[in-house]
Amino acid sequence: MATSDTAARPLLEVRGLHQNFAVAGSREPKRAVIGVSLAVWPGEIVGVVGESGSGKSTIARSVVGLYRPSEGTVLLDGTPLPPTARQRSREQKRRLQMVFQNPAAALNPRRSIGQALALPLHIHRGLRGAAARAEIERLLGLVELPAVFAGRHPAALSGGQRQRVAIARALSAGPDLLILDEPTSALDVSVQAKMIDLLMGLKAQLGLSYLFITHDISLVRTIADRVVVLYQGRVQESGPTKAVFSEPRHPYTRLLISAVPVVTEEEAALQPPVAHASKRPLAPDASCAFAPRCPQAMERCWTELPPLYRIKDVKDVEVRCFLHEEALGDRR
Amino acid sequence: MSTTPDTNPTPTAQAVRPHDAHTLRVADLSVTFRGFEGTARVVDRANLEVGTGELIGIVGETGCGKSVLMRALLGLLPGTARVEGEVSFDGRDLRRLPPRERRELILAHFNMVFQDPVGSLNPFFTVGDQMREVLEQAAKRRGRRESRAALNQQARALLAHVQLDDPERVMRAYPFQLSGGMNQRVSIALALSTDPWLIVADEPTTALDVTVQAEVLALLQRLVREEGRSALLITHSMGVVRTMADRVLVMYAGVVVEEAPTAALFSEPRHPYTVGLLQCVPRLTGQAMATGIPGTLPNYTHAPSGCRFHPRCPHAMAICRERRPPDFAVGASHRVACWLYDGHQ
Repeated sequence: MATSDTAARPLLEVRGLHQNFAVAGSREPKRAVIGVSLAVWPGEIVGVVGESGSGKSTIARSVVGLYRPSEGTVLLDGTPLPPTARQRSREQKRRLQMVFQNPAAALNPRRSIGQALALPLHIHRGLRGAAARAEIERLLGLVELPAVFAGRHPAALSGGQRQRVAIARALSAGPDLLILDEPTSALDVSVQAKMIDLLMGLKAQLGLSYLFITHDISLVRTIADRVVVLYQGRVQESGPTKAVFSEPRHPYTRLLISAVPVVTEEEAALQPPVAHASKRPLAPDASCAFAPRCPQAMERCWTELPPLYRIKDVKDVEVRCFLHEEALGDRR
Repeated sequence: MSTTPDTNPTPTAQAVRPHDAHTLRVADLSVTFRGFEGTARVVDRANLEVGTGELIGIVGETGCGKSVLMRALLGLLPGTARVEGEVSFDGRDLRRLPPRERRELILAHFNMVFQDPVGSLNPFFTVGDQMREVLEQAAKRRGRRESRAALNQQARALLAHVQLDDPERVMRAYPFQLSGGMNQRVSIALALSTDPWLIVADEPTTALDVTVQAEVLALLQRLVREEGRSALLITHSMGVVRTMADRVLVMYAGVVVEEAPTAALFSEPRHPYTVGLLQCVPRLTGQAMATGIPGTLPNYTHAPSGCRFHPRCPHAMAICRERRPPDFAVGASHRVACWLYDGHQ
């Protein structure tokens, strides 16, 4: 929390990330991520929130080097990382670890939990035999699983338990930052609550930072220090969580917040009223991607791409929306 | 979203006809399955009543028996399931009717919307094919034969009725060519094709993005409110039942642990499970959430004695281990199966 004032530079920085994918039968690539910049400072939780197709998982995969970015750089402690995991040093890989959304698919069904944890221990820390076994026991303890789980296979575990194993595996390398891609979205809320509690405990205990990717805006509000709102590959709004939620500025952020089915009156009071949008086909890249759904779309939203504006008297908040042109200084 | 005015006014003549009043009553309904490890009672003596125009929510976590309960009352369970208790429609016990009569009654009055819209549509046929088929069957049951043109006309009207912008294009499309939200609207249109009195929706928006969910929920709500239908909405989301339902049943481990008018349930949840579940929901206010409910869902073949929630309950007493709590009334139409409320009021 608030380490951004004290630390000299971000732990992780993503600068101008573009990620294009070839589309079968089309000359035009699919532009999944378009010029995204973000930073995670030491000790921080940064929430990346967006709907399906917004590019949030792509960002996670580009950061750990599973995709070679079409453009842009990922920096660790101010040092640019090679674009793919293959080119990165073991040390660089150790520091950034990822937890995937679907733990059933992320774990090899034919390998025991112990085997799944032994491999990274060997690769990253050179541990074998009794030392590795002791470390596996410690890691299982960290994620609050009994040591006997080392001999079990993923099929014998519940969804929540598998996700704990996936977290233990990410921790086995001894990372500084975890990239968590929807780590709780396949879980029931009571199990999610336990998992979040575990993640908060681990963060405090091990001094971790999290890049937390989710579609759940209430969850982001609850756990993140800063939030990045994505829509169709572009950052639409970003800033400290409290500042963004107390006054959501981008109409898309407002729509996201107002669409959540909440459980209390206090929450309902925070949901901005949302009007209905006009219908009109969109010119890609020469317009705001949200214009077709935006109740406040103006003529220029259809013909011009809004830049990210920095909001004047509010620290660190940026909004990609012409409605906030006056409140600010231009950024890019 | 606005509908195209010229296709909307009279969807199918029946779709706007107000429905007759009916009552669906479920009394002491239990469902048991026999497995290798023993007998599992996955729904244990559930009670439920649905009147015309009511939107009832059934909420609970994975494995609580909410979908089995729904399938039991629609007669969709496999033969290996043993169903006990009563499911009556306007006083007629469905389970005692001859199979053919029961089938006709269910087809005439009930229809369903499922969680996975793409999976519940046939990938090999266009939306138009699937709409026509269902409409043709519905007409046959009423003893009518419709021309292809008439079926097309009805299908387009229904698609417009569920606020799909370009019914003509949707008719020609295969499910994979449509978005999740559009497919779910198609599923709803298919459910409406029999003009059901009751729509049973099992997690209808779980696979959808939150902004699309809001639109689909608003549509479902309108179909019930404005057309005199009833709905049973099965979901794991407390937020969804709060925005949608008039009355909510909370299920845990096959048992309906609490039933209340929605406002009462959220302002004064009584069952320790309901309270725990609500505290686990992340809040837009940023207020810290609970650290979960201790323990895990029990194994149904060795279900806990007495109250099935007692091993996880912070208030468990001696009696909770021994005897299953009956329903205690704790307010207007508010009942809770918990010994804490014995002698309440």
